[in-house]
Amino acid sequence: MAQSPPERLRINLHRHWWLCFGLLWTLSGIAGEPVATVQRLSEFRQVDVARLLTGEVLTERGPLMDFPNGISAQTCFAVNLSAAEVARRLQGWSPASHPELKVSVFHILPALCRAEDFSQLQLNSTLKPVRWLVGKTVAKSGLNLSRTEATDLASSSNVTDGWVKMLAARVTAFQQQGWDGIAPYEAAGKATSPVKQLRALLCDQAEIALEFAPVLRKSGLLAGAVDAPAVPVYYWSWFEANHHATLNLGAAYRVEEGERWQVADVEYYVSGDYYTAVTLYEIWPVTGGTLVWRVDLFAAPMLEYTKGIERLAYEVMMVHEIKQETRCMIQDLKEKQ
Amino acid sequence: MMNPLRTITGVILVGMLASVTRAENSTRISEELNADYSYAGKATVNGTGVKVDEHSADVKFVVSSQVTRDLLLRVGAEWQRFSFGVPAGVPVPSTLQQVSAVIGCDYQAGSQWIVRAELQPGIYSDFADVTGTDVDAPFILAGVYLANPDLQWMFGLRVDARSQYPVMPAVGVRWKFSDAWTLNFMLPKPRLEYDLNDRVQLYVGAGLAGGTYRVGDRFGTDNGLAKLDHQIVDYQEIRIGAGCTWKITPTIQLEAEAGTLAYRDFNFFKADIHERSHGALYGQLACHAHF
Repeated sequence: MAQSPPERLRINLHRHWWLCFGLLWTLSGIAGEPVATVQRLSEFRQVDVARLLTGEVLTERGPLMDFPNGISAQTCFAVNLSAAEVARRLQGWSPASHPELKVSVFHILPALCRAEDFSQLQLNSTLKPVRWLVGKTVAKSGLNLSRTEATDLASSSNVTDGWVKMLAARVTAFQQQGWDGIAPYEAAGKATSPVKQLRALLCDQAEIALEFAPVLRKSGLLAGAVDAPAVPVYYWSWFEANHHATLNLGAAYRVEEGERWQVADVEYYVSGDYYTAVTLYEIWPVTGGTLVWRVDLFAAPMLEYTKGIERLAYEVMMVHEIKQETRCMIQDLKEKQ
Repeated sequence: MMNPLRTITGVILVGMLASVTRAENSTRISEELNADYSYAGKATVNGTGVKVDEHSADVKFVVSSQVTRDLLLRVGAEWQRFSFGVPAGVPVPSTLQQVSAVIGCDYQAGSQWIVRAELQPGIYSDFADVTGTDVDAPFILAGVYLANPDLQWMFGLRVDARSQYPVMPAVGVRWKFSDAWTLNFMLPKPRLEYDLNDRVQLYVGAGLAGGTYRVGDRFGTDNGLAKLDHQIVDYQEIRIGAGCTWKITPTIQLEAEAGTLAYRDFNFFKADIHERSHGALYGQLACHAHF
């Protein structure tokens, strides 16, 4: 049967990602000077650390991806803290104290997740974004769920309890089985694996994946056995995206590589609107503080059909929102010194 | 002299080439197809007592290719036709028609600005006798300020050297003020939209259509007003109506709309003659696709 271009691309990605990451494995020991590395791998031609230390935030759209579901953005900033401290704080940074970011709950999870860890989740609100999520749950459509999850949630007598049970089960599966424990999204009719989406994003941005190979390898996202896998900070959060209440599960990994640090914050489950996202931070000590280069990779179903000026506008808006979030992040880093 | 047929053939070839290239890199090339047909019932032309009805159709196909990080080129073609059911002897053209190429670009001009420039060289005529004087090239320049995902402002202008008003400015806004409601006040179709569900949208709004055309050498003589021979006519119509958009697939939408044709004006401004009418009911079907 004839395959559409996106199907062909997916199959090709599936065939070649092992090869792709094998190459990254081999080459990942290479590290460069901070500013030169940022300039080489980003669209930032002028990176003035002194100006960044005064609060300037550089943001740019990432290169256009061949992966049809993906877009990316890059950010560069600097703070007057040690690199180790910045890496530590970024790994578990909570955006919940900034109302403009519309994050209701950000909760760090223990290594053994329990249902009580989701006690802040209350879906009995009359707010429209929450009503949307409840409505979609009952209708079994438009959400990122496996078939079993969709059926169980729709038949649950209490929607909040149903979501708590489902989220706790997903966290437990991830904590016990890693990336292999993540169930695909099936409710939309076709099976979509968030892990495959993540790997496709990284494979598309091969140079960036190469730069971040240390943390990606220790997270297990890259192929191959790892002697000492990084222990992530697990979290769940509840926020508003596109006027819809959205729940996500994430894991943030941190590794030290020579003088630099790397953090990979991976959303391995998202309830709807998009499939997955990964935020990568490379953190270097520089004169006067720490330089941070941030790369956001984002996969969403609607991007497959968003091209031309619409895609350009989508990327511009993504950059705008990341800049807003980064300013909040810098504010927290500075205030909590 | 420019050969319009050659220009349009060139545009079609570029479109075909783009379709082939699409398989190589699907995210860099996009294609848009917009087509609509409408019928407006009879409305009396002021001062003549004659009733005129109208068939109109518009088909526009544009291929957009991202050539650099910030620049998208746009090439395509458009055909638009207004046909009026008008008896002989009335100084209203039976046909006003545009066959044009679309050449333009979209450019990210700042962190939150996207600018579109578009030239539409082609024939703008009643097609009674097509000569070089029927060729025109209106130009559109618009800037969109993306304030946030829910609010965008548009500032634009349309330049047509043959029109009575060669430069027409415009301002618009798109404001999604709730999950379901969007004020999409963008010309030429400002609307208030309501998302009934993920696939169906209802709307009320207006539609502006028209253009600047040259009529034939004997148009005036044949209709009892010789001074209208070979004249320029600014045609404008304003519709007010309500409609429904059905998203058949993520890339294809069908639209049905009905309402009243509130205002129509054939403005032979150099001869200082207006032929106006209003109050006709209309129905419209449209299809929008992007790939």
